[in-house]
Amino acid sequence: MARGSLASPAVVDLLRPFIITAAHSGEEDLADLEPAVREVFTKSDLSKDPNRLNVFMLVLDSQGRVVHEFHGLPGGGRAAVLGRSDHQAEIRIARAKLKLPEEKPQKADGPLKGLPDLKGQAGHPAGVRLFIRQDDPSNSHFSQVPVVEIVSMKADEWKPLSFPPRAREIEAESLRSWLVWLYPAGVRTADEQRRFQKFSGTLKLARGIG
Amino acid sequence: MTTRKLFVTILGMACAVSAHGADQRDAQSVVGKFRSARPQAADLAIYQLDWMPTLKAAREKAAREVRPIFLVVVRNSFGDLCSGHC
Repeated sequence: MARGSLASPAVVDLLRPFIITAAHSGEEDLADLEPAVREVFTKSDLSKDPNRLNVFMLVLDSQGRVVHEFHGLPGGGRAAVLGRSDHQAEIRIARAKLKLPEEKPQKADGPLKGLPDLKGQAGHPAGVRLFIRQDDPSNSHFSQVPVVEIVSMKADEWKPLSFPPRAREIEAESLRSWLVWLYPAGVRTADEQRRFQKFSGTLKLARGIG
Repeated sequence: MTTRKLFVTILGMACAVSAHGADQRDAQSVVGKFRSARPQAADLAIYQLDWMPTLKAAREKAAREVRPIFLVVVRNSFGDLCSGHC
């Protein structure tokens, strides 16, 4: 939910001047947090707020000092909800404290520098990017913003996918490295250890008309 | 005999053309579904931002470029907000 709110074009425009980073902790004592994050977070008032939920957003200046903090789950504004925040309003407050100039809306199709990438060898693509989305609005993990998984591929792994003069079938198993990322493994970290294991049947490979 | 061979040949060619047409329809159907499911620019806007993997790295970059940092902390969760894993 927090990522979905941060992903709106309006919030992206507000966040452009920032370096963005995130940290997750599954431990009660935060032992698995990066030490620098643990220090910043445990000193914050947010971490002690009795109305806190589990997502927190902190703004630091270029010297690493916290200048603003707010609850990370979206919600708030006129219908203020304890433990939640209006992300746009809070980021604007942070920008004012930092004396940043007013944001200028930019094209939605700008360069995607944050997209996971692979470096490959000459002669064939390094791999593929899989965009995985859970499309059921009734599912708590529904989001229009896809998860991106990168799968590296060697030259010989591309051969089965070479365009045939006529449609032919390939074994679904040959695309195992892609298919293991089908939801939920591709989205939910807890399910990464329980990926789909068996792929049977065939897929038809045909040249489409562009 | 010749007529029969000609008939079989024509029938075979018709089947081949029909199969090719069916393959093209399948391909077009898949391409259509791909285009409707493919993330749009607005869906990927979050990837336009400048993500760093750690706060330490973010601080170094922020100091070098004189830019502020936006830190998100998620408790009771294993995941990666940057990639979207929850």
